[in-house]
Parts: sequence; structure tokens; C-alpha cells
Amino acid sequence: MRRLLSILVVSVTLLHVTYLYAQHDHEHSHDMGKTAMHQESEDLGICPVMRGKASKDYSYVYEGKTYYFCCPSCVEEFKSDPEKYISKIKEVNLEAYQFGFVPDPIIVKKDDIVKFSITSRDVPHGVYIKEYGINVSVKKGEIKKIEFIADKEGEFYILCSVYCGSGHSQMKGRFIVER
Amino acid sequence: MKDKKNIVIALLTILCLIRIPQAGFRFIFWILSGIVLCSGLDILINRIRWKKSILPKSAIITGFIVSGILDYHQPFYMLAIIATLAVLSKHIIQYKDKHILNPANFALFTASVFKLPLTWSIESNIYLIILVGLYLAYSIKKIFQVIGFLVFFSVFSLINRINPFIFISWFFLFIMLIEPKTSGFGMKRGFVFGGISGITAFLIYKFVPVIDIFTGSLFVANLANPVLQKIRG
Repeated sequence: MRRLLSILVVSVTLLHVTYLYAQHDHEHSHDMGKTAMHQESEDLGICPVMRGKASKDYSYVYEGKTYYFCCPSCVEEFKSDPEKYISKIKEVNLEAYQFGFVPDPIIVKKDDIVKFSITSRDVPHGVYIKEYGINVSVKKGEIKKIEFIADKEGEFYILCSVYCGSGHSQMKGRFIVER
Repeated sequence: MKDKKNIVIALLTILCLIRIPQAGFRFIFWILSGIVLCSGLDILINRIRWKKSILPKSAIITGFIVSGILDYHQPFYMLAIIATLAVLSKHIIQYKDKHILNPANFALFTASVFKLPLTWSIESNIYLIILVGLYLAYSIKKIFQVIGFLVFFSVFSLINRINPFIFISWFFLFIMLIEPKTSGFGMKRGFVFGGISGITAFLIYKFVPVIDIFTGSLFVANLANPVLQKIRG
């Protein structure tokens, strides 16, 4: 009975590892496509108007940049005053290194759409923001993109979730969401 | 100090004390909770199942390691789950009536698989860890595990033009890898055990960095250990 239980526990753990590997590989293949939302790489991000899931069917090019929307009416709404919506999008190139993050702190306004392009300068790192449920690993040479709405106000720690050397435990950044 | 567990407990206590000024009160409660949970559960299981009273030194070490490595900003119930998993794994996952997995490592590996961050706060002074760790590894005859790991991890890393020493965990190497009961006995077996762990660590680093490379590698080496026991020497 104990042996059976042992095999079961180990098998379930290994299965989960396999699943994680597959998921990681999947994420990685889509990183080249450059868009991800909450680590689900097939997403085109968040609609800047209605804040729903954007679709490739509804897009609009403004000043050389393509924006994706959730429905046709959002495209029209965006066209009427693009700056109003663009000002609510905060794009941050977040670089992790031994042992910190740049920029630090990252300051955004509440309800902004935050787009992180995460890279590593040296060894693999993780970007973990507990309060926003973000946990992404990134290797040197990769770009990981995540997108979320800064809907919680306050000051949050950005921690490294992948062991990266003797200063790993002190590797912290700050993510500040102002009113 | 004949019992090496006392030295390990003393080392872990000092490492935690060094971390306290940076980490604050939550860290103290976090560590104490880990120790109390692991030792309490171990006492309980031993009393109910084996009808014996024990001084749970191993469980205290497990508690230190689990709480010292798991991110202390997590909710306390998460620590309770991981600590319970560690102690239960010791009593459940067995081969020929002996536990095969390093309890703390298995629980932390599971935490890492479920994307809980391991911040390794306990690794507060690597010089102290290396100094005491060398003594421990030598005195309990586990130095070949350390050498095996270093050789394979370094060789694979250097082939891939990566400096292994910029991200190696000395705490893992000198405290976790050499856990007496689950890391293989003897020179050859120890070296192979360390080698398996070293190769696995590199492979995880290269292909699945989302999983903690050290706990993952020790988990695999622990699984291979019953087979390694059939090797002579």
C-alpha cells in the first residue's frame, strides 16, 4: 500500500513537471510573436477601451503602432480620441540582473494597462509579483511579455523566483501603483 | 557536538539570525512556524504510528530549511502545507522501509513546481556555509557527493560557456545535497549521486528554469538513489 502511494505521489509530481515543461516550451515559442497576456502567449493583450481580451480581428494602426481591440465599436471609440487611451498604457522594459531589476521602482497609475517586456542580463531570473499573480521566468536572450491591469493600489515587491546566485534572496524591485 | 545534527541546527540558527535585520519580524515568525509545524507533526506521527517519543532534530532541520527557502512573504497556510508535505513524505514515500526523498527538498521542489517562489533567505552567509559545510561533508563522509555535483555541473556549464560559480547555491551543496539518509553511501555511489544531481541541475537550468534547479536536481538524484545502492563501493 505504502509503495503504491509512493509511486502515485512521485508520478503525479513528475507529470506536473512534464506539463510545466510543455507549457514553458509553448510560452517560449510564442515569445518570438512578441505578445503575451498574463503569461498566456496566444493573447493579443488587453483591449485599451473596454479592457476585455483583444482579438486579431479588430485592430487599428496609430502612429505606426498596431492596437488590438475586443470589438468593432472599441475601434471606433479609440479612433475618436486615441491619446486618451494610449495615456493609460504603460510599457516598461524590465531587465533582471544579478541582483536587481531596472527600472526600479516602476511607478504606474491605478487602472493603467501595464505591459512588461522582461529580459535577463545574465543568468535566468524570475519576475514574481505576488499581489498580481505574476510569476514569469526569463533566460538571457529571451523576451517575455506580460500585460495586466494595475487594479490594486499600493507598493508591491518584485521578487526573483528563480535561484540566480548568492544574492538571490536580496533581489527585489518595487512596483508602485498610485491613485 | 558529537551528533552532527546539532551542528547543522546551530548553523541554521546563525544563518537565520544573520538574515533577521534585513528581513524583519515576519521572517522570525515564519522560521519559528516552520520549525514548530515540522517538529510537532513528526512527534505526533511517531507517537501515534510507532508509539515512541522522539527528539525531532531532523524535523527541526527540515523546518528550518523549508521556511528558510520558501518566500516568507507567502501566506502562513502555504508554509503549513509545504511543511506538512515535507514531514508526510518522510513517513509515506518509502522504499524498503526507508524514506528515499530528502523531506525538505521534496516539499520545496513541489512548491517550485506549483510556482511558489523560493527566495533562499536562509543563504545569508556563504563563507560560513562553505566552512561548516566542508567540515560536515568531510566528517559524515559525503564529500564525494559534493565533488560529483561540482564536477558535472561545472563541466556542463563551461561547455555551454556559463560560469557555474556565479549562480551555484552553496547552501544546497553543503547542507541539502549531503543529507545523510537519502544521498547514498560510499565513494563511487556518492560521486554518481552528486553527478546525477549536477547533470540534472544543468538540464533544468537550460530547459526548464521555471523549476528550481537545485531542488529539482536533488529530487531526481533521490529517486535514483535506490538503484545506486546496488553499485559496489
